[in-house]
Amino acid sequence: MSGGSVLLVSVPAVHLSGLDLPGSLYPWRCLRDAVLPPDLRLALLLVMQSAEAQQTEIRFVARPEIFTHGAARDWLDAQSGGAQDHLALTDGNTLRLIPGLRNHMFFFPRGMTSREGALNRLVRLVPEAFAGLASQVNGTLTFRLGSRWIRPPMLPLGFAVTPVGEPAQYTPFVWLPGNHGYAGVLSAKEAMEGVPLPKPPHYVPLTLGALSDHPFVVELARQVREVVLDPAKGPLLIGLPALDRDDAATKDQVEAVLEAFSRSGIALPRLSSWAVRFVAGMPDPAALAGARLTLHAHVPFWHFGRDIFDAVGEVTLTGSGSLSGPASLFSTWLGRAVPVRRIRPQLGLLPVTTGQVP
Amino acid sequence: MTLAHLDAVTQAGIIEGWACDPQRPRETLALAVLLDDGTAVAAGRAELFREDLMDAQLRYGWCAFRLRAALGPEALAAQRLRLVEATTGAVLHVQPQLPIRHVEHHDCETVEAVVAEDPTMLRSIDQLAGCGDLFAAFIAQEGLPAFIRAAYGYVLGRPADPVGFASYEKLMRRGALTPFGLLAILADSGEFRSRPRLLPSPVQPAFVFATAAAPPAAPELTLDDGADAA
Amino acid sequence: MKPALTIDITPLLESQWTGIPVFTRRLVQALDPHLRLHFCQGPNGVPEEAVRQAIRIGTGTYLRDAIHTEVESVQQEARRPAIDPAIPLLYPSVKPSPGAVAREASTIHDISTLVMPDTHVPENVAFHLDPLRDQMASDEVVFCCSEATQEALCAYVPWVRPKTRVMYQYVDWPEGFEAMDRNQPAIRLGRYAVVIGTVEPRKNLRLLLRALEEPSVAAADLHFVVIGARGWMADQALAQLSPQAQARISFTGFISEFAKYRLLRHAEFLVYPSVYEGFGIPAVEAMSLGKPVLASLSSSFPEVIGPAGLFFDPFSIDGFLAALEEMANPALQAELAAHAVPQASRFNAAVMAAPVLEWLGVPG
Repeated sequence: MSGGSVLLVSVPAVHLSGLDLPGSLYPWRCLRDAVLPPDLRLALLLVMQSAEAQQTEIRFVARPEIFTHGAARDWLDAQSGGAQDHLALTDGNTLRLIPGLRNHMFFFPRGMTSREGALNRLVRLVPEAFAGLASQVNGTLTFRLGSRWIRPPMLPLGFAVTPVGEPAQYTPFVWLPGNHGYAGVLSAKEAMEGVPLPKPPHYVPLTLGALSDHPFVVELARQVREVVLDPAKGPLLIGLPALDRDDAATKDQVEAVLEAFSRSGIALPRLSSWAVRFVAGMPDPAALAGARLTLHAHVPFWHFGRDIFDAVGEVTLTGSGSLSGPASLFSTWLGRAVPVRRIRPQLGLLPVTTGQVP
Repeated sequence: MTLAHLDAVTQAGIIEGWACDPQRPRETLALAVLLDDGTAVAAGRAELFREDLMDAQLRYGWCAFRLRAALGPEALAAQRLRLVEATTGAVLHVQPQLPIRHVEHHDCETVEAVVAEDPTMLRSIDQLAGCGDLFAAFIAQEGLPAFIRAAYGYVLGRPADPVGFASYEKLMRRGALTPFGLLAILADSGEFRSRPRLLPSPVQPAFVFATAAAPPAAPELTLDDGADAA
Repeated sequence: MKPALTIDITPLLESQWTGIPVFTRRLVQALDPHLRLHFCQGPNGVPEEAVRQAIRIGTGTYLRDAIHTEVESVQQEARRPAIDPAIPLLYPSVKPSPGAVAREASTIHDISTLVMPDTHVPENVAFHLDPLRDQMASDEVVFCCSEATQEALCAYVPWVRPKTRVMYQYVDWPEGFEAMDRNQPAIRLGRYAVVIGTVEPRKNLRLLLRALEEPSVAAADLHFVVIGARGWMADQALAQLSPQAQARISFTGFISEFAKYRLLRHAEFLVYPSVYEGFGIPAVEAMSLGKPVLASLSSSFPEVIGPAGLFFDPFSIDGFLAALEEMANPALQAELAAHAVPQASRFNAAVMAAPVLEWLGVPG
């Protein structure tokens, strides 16, 4: 995407259904004040900030897919101010292309397993559409098409300053074996804002994708046990994952993490502890000064601004899958080499993969 | 032999009557009304329901016509009119002086009225009460199970469920239920009332009980002047 | 002897034929004069007489029954007619599994399940998309219902372009409708426009509902007759409107072809605000009765409606209002109407049959 020009941007149309748009092309303000999922809102903020920095004018297009050809397409071209690029923000359900323009993709729900699954299905269905992308924003989509490996060029976009949202809420770790729902309720009842940390924490933000990485969860659960039993090893700050449903509350997020721990096979003490604490929302960058930040490969790293990466003492990229793609992406994005720690299965329940049915 | 009658013309210029051929009960007759000089003043088909025709056992009650005339009622009443079959030109009835019938005339002033006036669909299942011979012919040709299946498909738009099928078949074989009685029961069911469907009239191709092949379409006569009230 | 073709009649198994079942019926009727047709449902043959009976009566209720009663026992299953693998096979819609015969073709009506899955239930998305790639890979020809569908499909699957052919469908009102309409009580609804739109979000009825409160629409004496059921979504939207605005719109519910014919024939014009269509047969229906169309500037509309239409941005209430006002000009309406019948007649049975005959190497 070149600077000083017009960029067409589309978002999943499901978020437009309640809006009274002025037309097929609409301005940012229509979305700015709309009800949007937090990850989409962040993605839009990132795009808007990046466009502003490049003096690129953004025009949102409601349904790019309706301008297939002929008069409809001519009309779009006439209205689009000479735009040569179209950025499709996708939730994985579809990839909207405008033929003839350079199409770019921003898959924003990184780490949301259902959305990643949907994107993978789409790639299998229309790989050529993805192969033709001019770039992917903050993504590592790679696939094999015939004998070719396809990886649309990465376009790194990042916040200089982490967007300030609602103040983060901290809740204590609570472990009630076999009753994670109630543990979630009890933990959420203790929610507090701006709880002071005795020293720089070890911060591990989670997503559902990270929680589905069994060896990673085993290792995290082991760390939780160590800190709960010896608070001096803390504090361990666990970023609660976004859930794939609109009505999810903090208690549900806590429950999702505890459920994952219970599947790890690591025996945790029946205790509650502020040495291990959950955080819903983005922690105050000041609280992360000198912290150790462990990012799983399935975490949308771009949610964090440069201010946080500059403030933390150490950043590690981790996960049990192949990390070469994410490491390359993250290092490029960050502008410096990032230490990578690949976790191999050691303890806990081993995941079972069935091959052929006998 | 074709039976037909030009009954009257309404104040609104609609020529009313009926026509059918008892030898060809499944055929809808295409008709024209001619002046003495052969000018066609109205055309259409005898395909509407009238209760008195059903009572008279004339083509199941489905052989009435209402044809918009190109001339006003007074002009029509002053002339001798011939009702002819459009395909053959055979004269079916000659009316020396067509009476003018004074009735309250209703145009379709609401969408509901347009839908309610739809002559291709039944207004009530009772309009099939005169179709007993038609149903009997269907059963003779296709069998009782086929009739029950067709009845379910026609009224409810679904296959017959085994329990319903068995019980109605038993009743019908015992003579405790007539074919029309079955249709009436299905149309009175909670299922139909909660999701009413459009039921094609017996003169429509979609009326599945008319098993004989549809007659070849008759050429319509073209009216001589601006009779099209549209 | 005419060349043979097998047609998959799965769409005809619906009880109430709209959309793809009607397309299938027209396809059979368009090809009938040129080819020796056989019928199948997937890999199984279907008796010709059962299909022809279904087409004659216009519903698949009994066809479904006929096919299903065929397989009530193992013996009957064994007796089910098979399809001849040497005869080309045409699917008028989705091909659920490829390879039933050596030469296959299928039909893509639109790619809305791919590009706007938010307007479909997940089952429908899976039904269309799961077999799509295998379907096209195994096809000799992929028929697309419009250039718009062809272009959209090729944007996502470029390799399919050499296989694609446009297959336009057509309108075929029953012969007797004109006379029947003439003899019916006159329609006196005042000035009205027919609207094609159901509660589906893709049909964009919301735009019209928004427009009803606008002063320019309120001042006009135009009524809108929506062909289709109201549904709870429309109820909710209507509840937001003033009683005056509500009085300017009526819903017909499910109506017969004849009632639709009448309402279209006596309307001033058709409003077709749908956001996206693969073809848009209601527009051709209206044009065939001499009516101009006020339609979204989207997908297949400009291609299908051509000079008989006035177009607006389907997301712009101002654009819609301006187009409505323009359409209220009798001179313009007459000018557009003059193009309507010629434009509709571009779509006929011969045009529909042509690409299939070309595929089979049969002179049209």
